[in-house]
Amino acid sequence: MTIADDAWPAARLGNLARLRAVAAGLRGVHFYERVIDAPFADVWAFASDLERTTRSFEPDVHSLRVLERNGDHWKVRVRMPRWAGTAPLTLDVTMRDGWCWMVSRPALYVVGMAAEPVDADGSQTRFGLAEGAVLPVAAWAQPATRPLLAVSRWRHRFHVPRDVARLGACVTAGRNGRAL
Amino acid sequence: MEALVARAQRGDPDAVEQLVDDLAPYLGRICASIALDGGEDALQETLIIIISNLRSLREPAALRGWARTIAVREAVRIARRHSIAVDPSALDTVASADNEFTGVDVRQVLAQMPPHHRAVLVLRELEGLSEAEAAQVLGVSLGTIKSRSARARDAFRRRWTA
Repeated sequence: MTIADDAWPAARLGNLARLRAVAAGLRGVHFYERVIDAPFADVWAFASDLERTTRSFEPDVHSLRVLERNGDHWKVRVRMPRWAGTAPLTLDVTMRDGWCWMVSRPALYVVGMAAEPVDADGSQTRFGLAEGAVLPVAAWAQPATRPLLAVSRWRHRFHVPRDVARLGACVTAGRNGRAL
Repeated sequence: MEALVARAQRGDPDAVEQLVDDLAPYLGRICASIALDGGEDALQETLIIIISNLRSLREPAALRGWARTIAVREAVRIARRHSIAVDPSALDTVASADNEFTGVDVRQVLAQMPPHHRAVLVLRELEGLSEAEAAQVLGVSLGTIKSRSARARDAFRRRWTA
């Protein structure tokens, strides 16, 4: 009996499953997803147009500028509102259809977006957002960072669902001809 | 791989993302071969368990074996949730063209088996484990593995000679 390796069935990891799995490994990151009543192409065209649309659903961003584009790999600079009193963040971005993963340099903060059509008729899209602080440290130092990561996760439990709801509202308003 | 696991254990987001990408094709084959239509659910659940418990892995070199055990157990659990009635007569309805099974053949034969038999077959034939190693992964006796293994191989043999 011979069964070649490639004759066995294989399961594929979708964009949302991938984002859920990555977020599960980052203690300061909260993941949230919901179904948006718009086709995938509309949702992703909006979400991936970082320079023009991020401010409309993410109030913690004052401006976002793409500094470099090299295929799937981008570099962006984000400025926070003046009240936040923080320096601009530079983030490395991996951008593909239905997948956006942004990591600040140094690696202290991450934002991930993923989207997939809900079913074959394509009228709805499942959209996921993961966001929060990361503090990569050796095992012996992790007890010290755990409270900070817990606060980050707690804070993002509130604002990540809010941002996803805003993004969904912007996309559906745009489709219905209303101003964003 | 060991350096990557160590970085992911520290909470390095680039390493966590890379590890998910590296593990997914390997675990996707195990999950789909056991859970069949539930393969994608099993793969997602498996990766979430692995990544969220990565810090508990004391020896990074043991990642593959640890991940395999989690994948097999999750796939069996999800296959039972998705379970459909087994129809052994369908085994004899398709003729095999040569001595090597195609993807369609393998999926058809697997679909006729209960999930715990599929798990044994995956561990023995795909992963190349001994009966003792497969018994350890599944947490069952050697005798149970021997009988499940014989039945699973017999199903393939019948398919081969159909």
